Amino acid sequence: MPLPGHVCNNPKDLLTDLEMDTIHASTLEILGDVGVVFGDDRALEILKSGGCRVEHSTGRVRFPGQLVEECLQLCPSRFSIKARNPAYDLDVGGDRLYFQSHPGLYLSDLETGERREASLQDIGPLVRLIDALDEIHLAIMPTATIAEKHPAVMTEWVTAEQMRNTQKVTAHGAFHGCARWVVEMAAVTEQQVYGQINPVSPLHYPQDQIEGGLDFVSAGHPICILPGPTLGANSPATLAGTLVLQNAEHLAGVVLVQLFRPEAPVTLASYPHVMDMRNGAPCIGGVEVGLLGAALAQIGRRYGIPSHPEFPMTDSKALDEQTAFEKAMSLVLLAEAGANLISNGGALEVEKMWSPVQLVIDNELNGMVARIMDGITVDANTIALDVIKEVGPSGNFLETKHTRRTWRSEQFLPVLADRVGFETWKAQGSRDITHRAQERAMELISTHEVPPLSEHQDKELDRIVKATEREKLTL
Amino acid sequence: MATNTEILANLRKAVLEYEDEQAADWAERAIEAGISPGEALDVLIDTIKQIGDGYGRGDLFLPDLIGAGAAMKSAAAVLEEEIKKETATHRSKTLVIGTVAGDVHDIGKSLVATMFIGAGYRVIDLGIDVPTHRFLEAVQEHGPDLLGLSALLSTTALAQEKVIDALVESGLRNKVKVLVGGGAVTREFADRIGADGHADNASEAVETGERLRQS
Repeated sequence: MPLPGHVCNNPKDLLTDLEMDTIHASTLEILGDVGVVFGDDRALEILKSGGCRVEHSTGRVRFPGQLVEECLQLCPSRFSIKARNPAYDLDVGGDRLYFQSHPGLYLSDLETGERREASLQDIGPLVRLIDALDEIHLAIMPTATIAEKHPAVMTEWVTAEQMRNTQKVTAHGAFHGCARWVVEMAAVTEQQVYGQINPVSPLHYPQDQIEGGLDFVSAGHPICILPGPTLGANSPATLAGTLVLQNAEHLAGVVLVQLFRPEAPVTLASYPHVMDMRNGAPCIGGVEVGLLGAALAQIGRRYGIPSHPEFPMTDSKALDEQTAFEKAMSLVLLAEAGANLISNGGALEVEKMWSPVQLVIDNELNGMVARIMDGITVDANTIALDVIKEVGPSGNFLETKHTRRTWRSEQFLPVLADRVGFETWKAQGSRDITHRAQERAMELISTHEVPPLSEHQDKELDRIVKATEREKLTL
Repeated sequence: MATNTEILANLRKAVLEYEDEQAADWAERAIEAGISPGEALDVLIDTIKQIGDGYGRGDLFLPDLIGAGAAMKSAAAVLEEEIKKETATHRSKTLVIGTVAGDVHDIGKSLVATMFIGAGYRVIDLGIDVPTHRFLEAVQEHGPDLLGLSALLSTTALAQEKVIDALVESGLRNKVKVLVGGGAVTREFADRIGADGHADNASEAVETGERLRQS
């Protein structure tokens, strides 16, 4: 039985049908006229044999509209991902929503909040924390860098720790040639992973991403097609223009993958930034990003392909109100638009700093948003006519069976949000949510257990990681 | 016939309005009118400084800086041809910049280049995927105050170390201050590889660069 996740009953459309048609038509025009560059000969052969016009000297590929439409039809609208433990299997697509954790670069130390490089021994406990949280259904690496290892092999080391410390589905990038090693690790731990292919805006698929992405696909793993345009820098400054550009990058990836392996499961993902025109920084906390994610969800629904806006995130470096409001605003937009996967779990400073404290807060945010999606149930039981009649004027509902039976499913019960009276709050140390979240994180890390891999699987992961080092570091 | 004052005023206006072709045109007309290219260049530098100040106050933004920078570059290219005929270099501060070998990311590096133009630097932009030896040749040829190395990824950033090592080996290291930056490049990494400075974004790059140049 897959994890239930949440259901979006009435997704909201941000754009009209005509606007969506225009975006689609404009995308096809870009794909046909301008094309997309692929930095890999194998990809060029695949696309050429599928009917694209290919310029081998530049890697430029132009796509016939008909081919794009056919490949869109081949994408499954719903697919499963097999976890280490079947209780954590996923059913991606349709009206279902799951939450994925965020990736990070550096770690915000759990005790001190200091921004530092993670070490290998940090990873296991952090992944166990992700495993413990109910509103995180997929786990991506908490930090991409660890201090003790060479950059070329950091990913593999962290991946091994991920697989040891969670039974949930794990998500992986295709950087530094890691995909084939992750695929091997997935095979020995008998699970599927959720991989990635990352085009570089504008309109370019680099060789390492193509190779990695196809490594995941050929081994039967679903992937997200993940452009990350920065508005005003490598995509148009306008949101609609960025949607078209991003859509062209998406559909180019769809065609490549479907020609390579028809009916391979993919999601349409994104992590757009806006360029702050004051300091040139690519920023992701703004509501424009939330709007783009909502549009992505609508595009996914139109094409019948699961969508995955890989945010909300924040530009804040602190566990503060900016983090809270930036994340919350975009999170609501994404969930109400019917996104199938949303990434929210742990990131600060865009995705440069990962905080276990923020992860716990994000888990609660996810739960609140899920409650929004449940909306208001109106039926005989919830209208409770009999109960109102019985209790009558000036009566008390607290004593009724109806209250006893219904309150739990009507209210989201927060773990972290503070609701005690002022005096109690003061007596407890006048603490804010970050203290409570830190305490909760520490408690979960010290108590939550994850069944270990078998000895054989564990040794195999070791073997694979060492093989990665031999291959990559001795070249 | 436009007077010299009018020509220079129009040159300034072209930059203020981000008009590349017009800026180059007025630079040509300045030369034809017998205005010294150095004087025209000074007008350009002053105009860019005006834009830079507006940016610093928060009245103007990066697209304005880039637009003015592009117009200035067009005009300066015309004038520098003339200047080469007269003297070796006109401006006292020079930056050589490029994205290191194996890395094709361009926007951050170009933004930094533009910001330095805005701060009155002569900028030699070597482009992207620049082999180590080309950085060395550029340092030798132009004798810059600063060498800027950009890399987005943790793997390509390793080439920044190679450039610094090559500068040491060829005896050029103490002739230039090395400034590094890029997505995965941190202060710790910069210190580890022996860079003189590091910056997180384009405006910090200019601040740090100026500090290094004057130190």
